[in-house]
Amino acid sequence: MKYFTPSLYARLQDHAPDAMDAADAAWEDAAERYDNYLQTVLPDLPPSARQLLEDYYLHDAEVLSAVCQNDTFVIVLQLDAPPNDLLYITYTLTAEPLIDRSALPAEYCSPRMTWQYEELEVCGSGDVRHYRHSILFSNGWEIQVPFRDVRLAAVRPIYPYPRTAVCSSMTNTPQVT
Amino acid sequence: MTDAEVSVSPTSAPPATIHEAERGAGPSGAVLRGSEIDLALAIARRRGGLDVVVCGLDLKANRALAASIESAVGPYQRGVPHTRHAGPLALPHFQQMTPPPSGHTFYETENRKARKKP
Repeated sequence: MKYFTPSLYARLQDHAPDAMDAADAAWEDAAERYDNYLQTVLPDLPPSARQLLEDYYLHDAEVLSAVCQNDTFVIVLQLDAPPNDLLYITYTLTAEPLIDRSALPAEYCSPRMTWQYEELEVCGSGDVRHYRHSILFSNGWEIQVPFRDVRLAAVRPIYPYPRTAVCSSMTNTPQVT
Repeated sequence: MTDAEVSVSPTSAPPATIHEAERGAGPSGAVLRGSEIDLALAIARRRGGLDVVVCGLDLKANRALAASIESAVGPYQRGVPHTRHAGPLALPHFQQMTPPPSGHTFYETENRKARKKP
């Protein structure tokens, strides 16, 4: 991660008011720099990568599975936004994904693996042009996926249950006892 | 308490309010604001895995109140979604470090607001 770095993520978790102000400012700065970078490379991204950026809300999506076989890496997410669809992201790799299992300090790691932040990059040019998706997860992992193409498939699950069907009705507020 | 003690400066922002919340469907990241609730009900709602949102004009007050709600549920973490990750209408939030319960305590900022539920 070049912009939304693990150290910046860790700064967000310092909950002293002044520290939160400083972390928010640093975060906004990183977001602006990343946006500026993306604007320069968006035309070079495959349509499916642009679709991933523009059509899906990935923050807090739960990772149900991640599989790497030969030149394919598949990650299955249950999206956090209603209706909690499953999203299959299938990368055609140009090299093995790099997995850093201790990107975040242990005190900020959750046992549950959810998608936190990601960065898309264009690497190389001409015949060797490829793309890199760097993703920071709540369990402390950072995965860098070098790919030449990506495919997306969203499906409505029967199981795992859509979370909205279980608990998300405003008329369903628990009673205080 | 005297009148002087309860008087509010004309320049001070109205106090933050807590509301039931739902996530809008799809990639916008919108947070839909429902009925206003009190702190106890907000904590109960969060313990049940449901969302709440703290609304108001003062970011620091909103954030502090949101943190106090989530801390009553358990160890928590803060998420500050970037629009590229979470949609143009997404709000920063606190959530449990180790769910369950799932869900979020969202809070408004100067330029990111919850939408009123239709």
